[in-house]
Amino acid sequence: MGVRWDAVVDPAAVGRHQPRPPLPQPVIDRSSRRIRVCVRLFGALAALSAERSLRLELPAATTIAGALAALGERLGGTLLAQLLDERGQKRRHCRLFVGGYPVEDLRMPLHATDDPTEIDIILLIAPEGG
Amino acid sequence: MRWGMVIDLKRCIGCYGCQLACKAEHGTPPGVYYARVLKQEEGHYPTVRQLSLPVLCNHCEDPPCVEACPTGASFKWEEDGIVDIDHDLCVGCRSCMMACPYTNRYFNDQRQHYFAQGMTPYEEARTGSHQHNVVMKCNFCRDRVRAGKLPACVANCPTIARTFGDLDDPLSEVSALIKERGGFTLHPELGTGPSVYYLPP
Amino acid sequence: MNLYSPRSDMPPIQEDAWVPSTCSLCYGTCSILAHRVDGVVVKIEGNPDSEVGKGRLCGKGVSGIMTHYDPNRLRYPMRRTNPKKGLNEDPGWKRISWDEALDEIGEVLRKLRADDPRKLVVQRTTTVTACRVPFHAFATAFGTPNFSVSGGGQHCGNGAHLISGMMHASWSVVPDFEYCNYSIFFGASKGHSAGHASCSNMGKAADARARGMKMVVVDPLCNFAAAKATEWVPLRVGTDAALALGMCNVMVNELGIYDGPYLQAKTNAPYLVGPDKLYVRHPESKTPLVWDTRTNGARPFNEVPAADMALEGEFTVGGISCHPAFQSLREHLRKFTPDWAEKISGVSAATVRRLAKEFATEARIGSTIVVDGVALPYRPVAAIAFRGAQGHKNSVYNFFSVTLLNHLVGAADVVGGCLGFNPTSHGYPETGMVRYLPNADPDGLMIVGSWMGYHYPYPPAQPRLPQNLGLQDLFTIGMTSPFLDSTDREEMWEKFDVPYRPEVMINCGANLVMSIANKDAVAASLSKYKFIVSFDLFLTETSNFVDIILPDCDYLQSLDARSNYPFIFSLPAGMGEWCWPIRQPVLPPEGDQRQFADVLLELADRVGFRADLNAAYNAWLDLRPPYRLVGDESYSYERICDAELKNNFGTERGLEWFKEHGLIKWKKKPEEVYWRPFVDARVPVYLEFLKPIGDKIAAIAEPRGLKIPLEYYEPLPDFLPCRSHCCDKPGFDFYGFYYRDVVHTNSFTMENPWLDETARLDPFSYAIAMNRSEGVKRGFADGQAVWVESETGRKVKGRLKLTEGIHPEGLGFAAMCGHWTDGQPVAKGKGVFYNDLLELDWEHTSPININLDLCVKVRVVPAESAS
Repeated sequence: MGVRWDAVVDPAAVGRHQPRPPLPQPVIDRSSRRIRVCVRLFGALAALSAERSLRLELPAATTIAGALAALGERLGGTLLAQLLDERGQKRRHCRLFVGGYPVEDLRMPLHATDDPTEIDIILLIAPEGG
Repeated sequence: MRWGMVIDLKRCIGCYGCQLACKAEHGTPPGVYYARVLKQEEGHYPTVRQLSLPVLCNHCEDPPCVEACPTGASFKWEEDGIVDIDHDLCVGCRSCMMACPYTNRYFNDQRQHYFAQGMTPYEEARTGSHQHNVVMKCNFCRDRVRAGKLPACVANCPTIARTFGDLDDPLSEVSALIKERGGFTLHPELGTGPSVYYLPP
Repeated sequence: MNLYSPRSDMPPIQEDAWVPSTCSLCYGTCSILAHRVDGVVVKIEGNPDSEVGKGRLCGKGVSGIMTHYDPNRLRYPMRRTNPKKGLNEDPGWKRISWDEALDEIGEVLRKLRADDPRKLVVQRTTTVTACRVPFHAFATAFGTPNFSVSGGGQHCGNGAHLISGMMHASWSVVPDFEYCNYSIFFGASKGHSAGHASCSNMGKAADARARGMKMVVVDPLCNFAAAKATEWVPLRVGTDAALALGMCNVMVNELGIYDGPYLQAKTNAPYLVGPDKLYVRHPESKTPLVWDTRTNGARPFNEVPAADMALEGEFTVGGISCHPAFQSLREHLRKFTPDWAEKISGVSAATVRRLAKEFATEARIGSTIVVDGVALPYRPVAAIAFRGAQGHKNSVYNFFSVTLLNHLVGAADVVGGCLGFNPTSHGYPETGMVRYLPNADPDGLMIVGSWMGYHYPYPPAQPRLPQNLGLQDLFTIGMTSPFLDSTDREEMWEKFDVPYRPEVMINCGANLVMSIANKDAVAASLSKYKFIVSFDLFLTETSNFVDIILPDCDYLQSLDARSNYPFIFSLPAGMGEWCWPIRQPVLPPEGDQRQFADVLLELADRVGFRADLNAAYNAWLDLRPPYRLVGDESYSYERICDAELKNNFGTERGLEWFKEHGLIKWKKKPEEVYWRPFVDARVPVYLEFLKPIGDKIAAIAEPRGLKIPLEYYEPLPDFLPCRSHCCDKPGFDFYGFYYRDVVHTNSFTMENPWLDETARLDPFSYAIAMNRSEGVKRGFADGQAVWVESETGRKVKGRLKLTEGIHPEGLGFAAMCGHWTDGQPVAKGKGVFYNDLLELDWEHTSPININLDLCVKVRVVPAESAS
């Protein structure tokens, strides 16, 4: 051994493909303005929650994780448990969309913008077969 | 020019694509399959193989059916070698059926359809156009071929087991396959001179 | 005026048109050209432009005409007038209007949603791939997690898809037909029968055969792939793991042939495991440790060059004795001697050794090849499995043991080896959309880039007290579940305090009374539902339990924007072109037939959750601005399809463009097809994560009275017998099993008279295959009518086909025949209803992936009269 398994492979080859179009960057407001967010819940989440659309005001530099925590405070731990597992990781079938674009990393920061940032949350179906 | 077909038994998996594509192309009535797939197992447990043998009219060089036909309805096209039936001349005596050693001819005795409720629009369009009290069989999809297409069974085969071409052309694919792979015909001892060759499984 | 009718954009009836679309006679969804002359479809051919089928179709595909024009097709909505539901109760169907139907259904759904949306079970047939997203979106929007894919799903994939996903990031696996030299098929007929990318695979497999690829087929029955095999290896039903493990042992321990560098670089073979059988982890970061042979110390796996990782040796780390997982595997394999394998599987020890030697030698470990200018590892061997190996209680280890053969020699997703179906895609070049790559979890193990749902094969979700009726959130290694209809479902729900019960079902095309297990069990389950709605082409045996039947449009009358996406499902694997075909209506609806997608949209509007449905479509279709559906606007299905196509392929390529062109293609790159060296992710050859999952499940289940056999959760595979292997009732000396037939799909196609006629001409399709010597020994004759009886007393009747081509202990049933409904007069009475022998309960279910055990120990006795 001591020989790489993929010894002939050129790793740079992968870099030559067309990358996915980058998600648009929102206008970054570096002031300490509070961030206004409009969270919309769909499907099973809407059924679990008293409110399906709610507005939150969050401190500057809040991340998505922080927004979800605030949501949990407002709507309760049961709802939050549908979105996050015991380790605080987003459940795979929980889809988040910020400004219409899918987000997987909860560490993504939110930015204060003129209009409230829209966050859509929906739980998709898990099982499939065939 | 002599149209011929080569069927590669190594490739064929017996999916019935040819049998059913032919039926769909010609709207043959129940019980009639111009192209069929016969299945046979070979060997004894555990050394066993299942053989799928697609068969169809062999368009023989010396067709016994043509010889047997009293009206001249069964004939062989001189220009391309296809053995065909002129249904206007056929009187339904079925001598040809008795003459054919490959049992590849069918007698269409009456208007038939697949569902008890009657003819489907498809059958009206395709099956309904066949005459009754006549014998019917494969004609190598002569209309398709003259329009530059392959016969339906050849065009459709998912394993690409069927090849169609001019046996009189030594450079055609069919000629090459027969020569290189040892193509054989069915019942060569009968001397019918089939135009359908098989490659070994 | 009906907003949802597709008539507005139906092409005017032309004299003579060839319309590009896609087939739906099985889930292969090959591309077609439908020839329409004066408003009648007179021929269906393949579409030579498409990679899916490459212009050719199997027997089922060309026969679609007769399913479409079957006069027994449902034409208008019907409601039962007889409130009693039963297998022999006439529902008393009464014709109603769509408005009446949707008024009632809407009312039921509105009330249910206000009460508890989880009480809705949404079910679909796996045959119609086009119903996946609409029904998933509907269930998502309504708010129920309870989704079923009926028998087609339950029988097909909890083992196959789990392991194919975990090890190859795809739904299924296939040999690289273009380059493979030596393939072993365990209970699979890829390229020789129906299913994923079937017609394309048929051509590829034939090319491989012509090229001289050796194909060894391990199967109790000699048909389909086995019929064309270079060597047919008959084995006892359900013992694939034994043969595969015997081969693994020979390779590793007798021959000493395995791909060390591959194991170091691409698997968890070097990860250190301790006495508790779990990874030894870094105390702070929790990263699994490996032994660095250069620095002579344990370090996190992501900090050590693969070539320096030890695969063997005993080490002490932080006071704990440990060794690399590969060493555990190697030692574990020793007990699977060829003699042991022979005893269990019936395959001779000499054959076990020979197959292992042939496989290991032809793997050509260390060799390379250049494809399209790209240099890649070359391992021209592949071991695959599918429905045969997966149809058992022990399917996880069965399947894992088979693919372990590939991973031991590095023949996974490289040239010539075992390929997943399109596990990676770099995306459509112009837009970058439709791009996905597997990645890795913090332990470095592979997470799929694309999947059919969100219950991923790895990492398994953490078990919890179940909220889903199918208990999949407890048994998280499983996927589809038998507990929606099992005879002990109520007991299970009570045990686990599931706080609600199913009340309403919406079914699309599935015939679960026949497709899951014995009809009485499923009938009992369906009788409990308060309300069942079913979209169907024909009346089925399940219709006896339905309240409102809705007449569906078939594939020739329907629109679907993503016939062959996700690509992991039914786009051909290997080099070639990416291909995205669509389905478009060729013929108008007859009578009151409507497309299910339209009906679901209208129901959402009526019940008042259109905003949720729009959001669900956005999520399932990955729609980005400006194509995202907004608010609760009443988009038609055409608009949604158009949005998806433009979202993926650009503003000029919407529905109109696709209707004209039929599909879009772009070339595949070797780095996409042979992605393994380019993706930084490992696969498990040691299933470390099973133990903690099993322990958690036991912690939840055992206090509630359900014992979990933890031998199914061991990190290393074993042969675990099915119930049939443990049956020693005298006289019960055959293993019954069913297998897929190329002319039939589930219980769907027997009503098609061309396919039925073809099946009647086939020696096996409607018969029960029995070994000729065994039959003669018992005094049976070819064609004799017999009763087949299970050890639990269930019986089915059929005719024998005595054949040399089946294991002496095997009893093979083709497809899922034996219809009795008057609604399908062609299908009625044809073939044998094998599933009626199957029990449906915890005892017959795998305790790890909740797979149904599909083999049965039976006895065969003559039946008095022919029928």
